[in-house]
Amino acid sequence: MESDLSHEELVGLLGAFALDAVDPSEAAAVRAHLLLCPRCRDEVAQHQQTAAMLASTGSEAPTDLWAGIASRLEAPNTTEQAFPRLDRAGRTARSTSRRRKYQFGLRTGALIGAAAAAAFAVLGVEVGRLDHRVNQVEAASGGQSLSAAARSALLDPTASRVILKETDSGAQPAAEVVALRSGAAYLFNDRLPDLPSAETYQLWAMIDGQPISVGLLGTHPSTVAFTLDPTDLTNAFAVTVEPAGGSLAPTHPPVASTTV
Amino acid sequence: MLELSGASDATLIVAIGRWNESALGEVYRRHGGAVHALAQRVLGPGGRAQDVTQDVFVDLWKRPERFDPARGSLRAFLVTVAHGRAVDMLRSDTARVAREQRTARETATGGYDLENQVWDLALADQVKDAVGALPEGERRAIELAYFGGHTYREVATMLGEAEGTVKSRIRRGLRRMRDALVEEMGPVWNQT
Ligand SMILES: [Zn+2]
Repeated sequence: MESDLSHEELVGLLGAFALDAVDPSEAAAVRAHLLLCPRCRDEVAQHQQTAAMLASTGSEAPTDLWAGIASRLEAPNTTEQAFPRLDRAGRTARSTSRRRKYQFGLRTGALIGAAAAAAFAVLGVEVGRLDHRVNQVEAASGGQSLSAAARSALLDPTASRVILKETDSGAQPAAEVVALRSGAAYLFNDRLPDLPSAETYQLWAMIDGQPISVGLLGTHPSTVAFTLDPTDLTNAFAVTVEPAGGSLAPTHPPVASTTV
Repeated sequence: MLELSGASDATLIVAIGRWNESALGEVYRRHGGAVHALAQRVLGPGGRAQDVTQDVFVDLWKRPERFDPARGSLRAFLVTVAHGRAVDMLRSDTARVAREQRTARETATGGYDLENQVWDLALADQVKDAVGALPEGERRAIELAYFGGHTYREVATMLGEAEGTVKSRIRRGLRRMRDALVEEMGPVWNQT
């Protein structure tokens, strides 16, 4: 809706707009303007924050209202439909095929393709390098915290994602890997329980049937950042429990993997 | 596993994006009180304020991406959503009659006893100071608009002022409060 209001008139409405104190036609005009004007957008956000300070800060959340909220929470209940918010773009046939072309891969340094089978000798080096790279990813996100970077990855429609399922009876989703075209990738832990300190989770990429270490996830991973290289294609991952410090090759069967 | 009680609001939002109910519960524990208090302030005690409170958190569950941490705290976001919903409810047809009666009553009593009726909330001292430092005209306009759920036009009628005067008093008052809060609390004034 194109409004008849001048910029000066619109600006004059911003305080009242932030308090929901304008008429519907004025609200519509301001909303349309905010799409185009970052300065007015900032001003409204500031007014809203100021007004929100007037809401009581000390009171406890009423416990009797939570049951009513919880009863209205719907979540996808099949594995295929898990995280539909994240899958939205991938639901159509077209974007599915586009995604298939972009299978994200794992930087394995000297290890490429078939050579991986005979390359255990350098795996130890790889573990160290990849761990270093994990640190680099966290540092590279600058002022942005890991969770903020991971959050934007989750909301990125171009991200590739695979779900790792538990390998025991239920085959429940245990974790998910989300990878951006930039190579930045995140593992989100959904169900992997905490480990004793003598052990660690270790993430492996399966390349030509061989597990290549991506890095150590620690004893109680929540969200872990790492880097992938799109030139080495894989979307198969596995998580094992290893002794603290990690292993050159898996010493146990996976507790979660993309193929059950 | 996600350690909820120590997680930042931003981390909780990510978890909510992954359908983690406990994360929503933690957000509710942290901010449900402020949301409900605001809804109650606008709508009065009772079912409507409770409905708004619950709707705000169900909404967050469905669309957590609407919260943009770059634009302010999660609490401010939730309170803003709650205010919009509460005002919508006030202005709905079924509520109009009661509202017109209320407006008439407020006009008849010549406004609120500001200190006692409106700002008597569990506000942080700094917020109380910032509110107290406002010129009375600005304070009253903000109060009637924000807590009374009135448009600036209605406020102008109630106070017998020009519409333009009320409109600019609201904007100037909000700016003045913000400046006072930034001065007292520093740049992180809105991070709670
Ligand atoms: Zn503008």
